[in-house]
Amino acid sequence: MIKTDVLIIGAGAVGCALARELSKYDINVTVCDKNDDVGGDASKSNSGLFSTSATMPVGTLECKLRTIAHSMMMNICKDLDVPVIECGSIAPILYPDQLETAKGLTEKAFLNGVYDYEILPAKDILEMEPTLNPEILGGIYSPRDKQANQFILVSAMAENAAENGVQFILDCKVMGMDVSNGKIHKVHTSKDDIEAKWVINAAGLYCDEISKMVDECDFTVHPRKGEFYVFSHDTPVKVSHIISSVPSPKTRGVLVIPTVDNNMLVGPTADDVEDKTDKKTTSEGLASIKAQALKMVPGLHFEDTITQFVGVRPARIPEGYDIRFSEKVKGFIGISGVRSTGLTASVGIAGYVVHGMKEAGLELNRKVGWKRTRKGIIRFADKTNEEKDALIKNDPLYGKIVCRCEQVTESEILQAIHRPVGAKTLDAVKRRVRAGMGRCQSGFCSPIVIEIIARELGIPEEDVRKRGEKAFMLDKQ
Amino acid sequence: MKRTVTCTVCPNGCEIGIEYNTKEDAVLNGYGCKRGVSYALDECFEPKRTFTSSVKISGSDRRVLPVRTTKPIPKSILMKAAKEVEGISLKAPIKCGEVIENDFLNTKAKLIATMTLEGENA
Amino acid sequence: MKDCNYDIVVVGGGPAGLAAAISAKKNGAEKVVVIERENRLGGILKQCIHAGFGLQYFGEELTGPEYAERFSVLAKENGIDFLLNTTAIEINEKTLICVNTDGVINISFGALVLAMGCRERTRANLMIPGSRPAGIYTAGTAQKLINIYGHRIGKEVVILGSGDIGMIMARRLSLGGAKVKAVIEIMPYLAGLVRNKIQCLDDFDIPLMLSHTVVDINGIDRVESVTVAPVDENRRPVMEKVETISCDTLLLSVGLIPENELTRSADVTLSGITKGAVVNQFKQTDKPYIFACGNVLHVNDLVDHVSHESEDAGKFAALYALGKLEQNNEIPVTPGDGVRYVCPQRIACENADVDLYFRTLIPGRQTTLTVLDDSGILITKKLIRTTPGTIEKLTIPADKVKKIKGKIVVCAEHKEVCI
Repeated sequence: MIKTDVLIIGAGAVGCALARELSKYDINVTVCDKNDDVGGDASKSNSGLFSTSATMPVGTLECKLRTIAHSMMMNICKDLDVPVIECGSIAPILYPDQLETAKGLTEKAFLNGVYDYEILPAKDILEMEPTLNPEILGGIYSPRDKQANQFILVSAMAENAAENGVQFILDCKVMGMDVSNGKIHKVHTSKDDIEAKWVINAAGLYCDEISKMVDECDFTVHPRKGEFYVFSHDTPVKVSHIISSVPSPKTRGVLVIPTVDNNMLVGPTADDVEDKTDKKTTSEGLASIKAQALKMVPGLHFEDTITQFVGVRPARIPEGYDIRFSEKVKGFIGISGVRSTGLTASVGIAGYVVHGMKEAGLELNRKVGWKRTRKGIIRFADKTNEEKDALIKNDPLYGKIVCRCEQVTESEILQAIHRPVGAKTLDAVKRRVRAGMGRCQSGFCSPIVIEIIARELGIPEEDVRKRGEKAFMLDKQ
Repeated sequence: MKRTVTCTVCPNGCEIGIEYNTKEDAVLNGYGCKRGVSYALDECFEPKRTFTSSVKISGSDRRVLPVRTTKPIPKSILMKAAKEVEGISLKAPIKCGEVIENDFLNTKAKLIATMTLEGENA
Repeated sequence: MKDCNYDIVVVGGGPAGLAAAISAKKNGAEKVVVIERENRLGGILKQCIHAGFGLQYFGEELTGPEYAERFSVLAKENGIDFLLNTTAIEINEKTLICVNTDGVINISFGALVLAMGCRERTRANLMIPGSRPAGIYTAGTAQKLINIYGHRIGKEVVILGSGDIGMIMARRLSLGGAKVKAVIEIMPYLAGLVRNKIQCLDDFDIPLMLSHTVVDINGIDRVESVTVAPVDENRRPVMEKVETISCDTLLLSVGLIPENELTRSADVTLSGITKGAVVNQFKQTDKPYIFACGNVLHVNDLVDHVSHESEDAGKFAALYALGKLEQNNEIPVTPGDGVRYVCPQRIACENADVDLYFRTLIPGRQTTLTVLDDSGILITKKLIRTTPGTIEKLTIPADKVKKIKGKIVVCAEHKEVCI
């Protein structure tokens, strides 16, 4: 049995932001997640955008929290050593009827306090982004939209929280709760039972299932599938702004996104599916992304994609952020309706929830010596030859290149494994340091990474997983 | 009996027809050279393959040592050969060409190492 | 940072690099070094433990490790230096920048020979839809896991692509006790050698499904099955006829791509077809001090060819470094009807034979191979059978090389197409 003051269910963006926020105070905080790694489901496989609230529904909690969070995000990324590209976004106007939509959007942006969201003439847009279709009629420019590696952000928040005393229990699925007399007595998990004064439901895609356990669920969560292409570094046509479709009432459409890691992302689709675990790419989905993207950026070389993947995001019915301090079950806080906007909004949600906990009577005393900053793993590939030499002199394992495509060294992989909330699987290593993220898609490095993980975790190589519970890399007899 | 054998001696890949009751009275057609004739006869009456595999080894930076037979062995005992080498465990150092078994599965073929592995301290 | 200087620097200690290094030494280069990222020489041959190597070069049938060992012994005897566990990361003019656990090393050179080999095409290159579970491997990675690491990778296997490595792995897995359920090939003909179909598939009763492809991969954690469909004449899957094959492993043997990222750092011109450098018959790129050979230049069928080609690269690199390689006007060599590519892509009209290596487009019988220049046919050759899986070679004799007019075109015409 584990005892804690606060239990956060879900280690996605919201859960990790909350963990970091609560780690400022003198209380015990535990985060559990069913996955082998932090990053949740939706939080780790999205487009990594920090967008302004320009197109948000006016006057909603979502709009408010995202606006607040957007202004905080750059500082947080600086503190946590999370690289961000401040590239801005352009939505090219392709058809005459989109002009009206665009005008409507700028009015909405004004109401949402975004005053620098404007329509520019085609000539100016094409000068800024020459890869765009020369036939465009104009474009909406939004200078403060940014891109970050969403997983690095989430794991950085988790690492920083862990360094400040938060306990993370992974591979730990919440199975049920003992609830009586308006109180949660015990949370049953696939590992130990947990007793907590506060239980926060930050389970994202699965938040309906958690809320059902305390009979607080008057909504449903549907999986919405988004397929993406990832482009290689050396593809000849690359965008320098986030290129987004002018949203229609039906869909946000496809985006072409430059990333901090110098790969372009192209997607997503938006398909409502039945199964929350359905992460299959489809020929139809990939074909429709390609067609839409080529209308905006006709020169894209789709033969240069190094991988395709699916992110599943939660679609709540009814829509909208819902943050609720349960009246029926004392100490239960439900967070639902957080969709793709949640990556940016997470730090706003964290502040909002913690404030609410204070209001509800939780005594929060600020810790002395809370560590605000965290340093990222130094990436060998990004350094000059002089700097590389110095890194190796200091740690010879920086001279052992394991992933040739992304030039990832053994030192980086060891750091990924041994840091707080470290990697235990191949995918977890890949997300942290990019081993296997290159053109050969781990063909060359996976045998070595399997060996390193087994050695460092002290497990047989047959037990090394790609991810998840039973995704064993080798034949487990 | 009647069958067709695709010759693999050279890239020409002749389709050799063969009609026979016994090896002695076999009639062949479609071959491009004499080597094809003997290949087709072997394939019909005593097909053989060079067997290659690996065996466990200790005392080296490698975990397994590649091995092969010095001449082709009957195709019919390939699975048996695979089982047989699973039970072999050697210690480095070992030299490429070194004999591991002199008469592998009574075939008169030797089983040899196909890589030199120095001992770990070498 | 450490600095050193060599006449010839060879990147890659596989069959191409070793043959080039030995040849460079024999042709007068004094200081020759081979840069190898692994701890042992031999490159990919180390994991190719099957037989079938060396019939042309050594006149006897060897396994991959034996073939490699003959060359590494020769290289050591010839006084070549080796930097093992060392990765080349950049070419900066006439300096190669390398990394190992001692630090960064700048190696300046008279000539550089690129011999980095190739990588395998991945699932993403083919855009195979489906989920992304564990248990999907390229054939070469599977080969490494089994033959180098001694691992077992799965119990029930489907192989996509009838390339040679895939078929050889089908046999290896079968002998190791796994069940190989099918080899699936999108084309109506085999991609690899017929010999491998007979000895690796037929011997183990493994079905070969031509004109089929994988249209879905199922399973969340580990592969559970693949969905397979026949394809029409335009290679589009016929979805009404899909079938599901249960398996825990999917191997991909769908082609190789020369590994030219280092080459790009030197701004060497690459061919869009071979994905390797554009070279002349000396294996010299358009940066005259850079040469390329083996699978980094174009993907070969036999290592024996690689050895011969690489010896040329090493020889001419040495002559260049010694200032003895004359630069003449060059004329282009292009693939004509029925030919996919020709290597070299340019030739200098010297007084010496010129070997042209090329692949045909489709398999056929009674094939006539022709080399033409602007004035007509230079040479022809008739073959009983050709396939795109085999590299063909034609030699323009020295007396004809001197008289070439205009550009060279290589054509292949089949009397009978084998599809």
